[in-house]
Amino acid sequence: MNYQYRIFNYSVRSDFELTCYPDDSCDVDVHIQRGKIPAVMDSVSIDSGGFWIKAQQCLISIPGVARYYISDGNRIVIEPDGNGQESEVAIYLLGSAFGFLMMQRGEFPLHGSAIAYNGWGVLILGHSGSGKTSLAAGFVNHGGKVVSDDVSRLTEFEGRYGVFPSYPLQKIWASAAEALRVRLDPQKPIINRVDKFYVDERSRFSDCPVHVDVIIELVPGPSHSVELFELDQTNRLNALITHTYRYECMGVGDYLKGHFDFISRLSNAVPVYRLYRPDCQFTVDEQIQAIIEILMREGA
Amino acid sequence: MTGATYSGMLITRNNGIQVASMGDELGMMNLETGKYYLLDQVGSAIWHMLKAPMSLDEIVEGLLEIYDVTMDQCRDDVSAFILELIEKKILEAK
Repeated sequence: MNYQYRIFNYSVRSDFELTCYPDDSCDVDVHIQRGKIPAVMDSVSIDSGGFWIKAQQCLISIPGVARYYISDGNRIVIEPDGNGQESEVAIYLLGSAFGFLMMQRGEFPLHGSAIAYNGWGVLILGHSGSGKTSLAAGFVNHGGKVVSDDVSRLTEFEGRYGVFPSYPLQKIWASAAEALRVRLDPQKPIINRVDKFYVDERSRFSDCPVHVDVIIELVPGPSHSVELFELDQTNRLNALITHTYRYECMGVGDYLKGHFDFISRLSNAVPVYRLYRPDCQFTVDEQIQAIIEILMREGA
Repeated sequence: MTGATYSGMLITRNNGIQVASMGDELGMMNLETGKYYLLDQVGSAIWHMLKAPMSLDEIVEGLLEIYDVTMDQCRDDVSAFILELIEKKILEAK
């Protein structure tokens, strides 16, 4: 039995059932297969806790969940750990594995969530735990839709930068869900992550690409209030570099050159703001208000 | 090393530098080291001047035509700056 989906705008044939947008095209860009893969890879150029990279091959090992072998930008072989849950297998597939796949295809995914709100598109960049998912979920309460959750694949259409839809799934902390009044299905906890749940209510998501009107770098910190301000060139470049997915794995050479072209053009085309949020309070509504003010001023 | 050390030499761009225009400033990346830099207006002016190798004196003369500063001030500032760019492998001295 296999399934066909459109994930990050790639047409994907998968041995695994996934919470992804269905697809019926004849051409397949990516194959996801169940199979046996070696425990290690030799002669690697990068060996970093849990993953190994060389040329067009990448091996990821998540103990208790699965091993993933990503090759040539078009194939992901997965060997689930017998003791793991298939839902957890999907987490690392849709995040890390696809992130490396995009890099193998010569693309530069960013670590962030994109939302569509009131005709505008906002790309929220941030490190894990910065609050991207909560902020994106908060926009849904104001009528927005989530386009991508954790990794964003950028594209250009109609002469502007945009983000492709990824999949209709978010992983939300129970505490954030409570504050956002998101209904959680107690049947859908993420096993081994006691306080995190899946949210897959289709109406919260958009399967259309969205133009990026502003980029917001979300930074939690010890401040007592939400602050949002535009970044100068140095800090813009820093933000885009730091939040390039797996920036530390880029190595040197043509890929790095391509990355520099990409982020310098992106930095010239889209305003980048930094949003400081207090790390010990829930301030999603204030963050959203601040962002809406910017969107109106940018006159998108 | 001081600016005086370079006075007999020609300053050139390092070929392994990728540049991107960013408003008034110049974004740069050293392809060998993977490091990124942003040069301000003056730094960008110096880079643009160096289409062909130039001596420190020639660079100073060129800047004096653009900026209203004394020769000594310009020479001191430019020497220190060129030194830094050489250390960062953005420029070379031959």
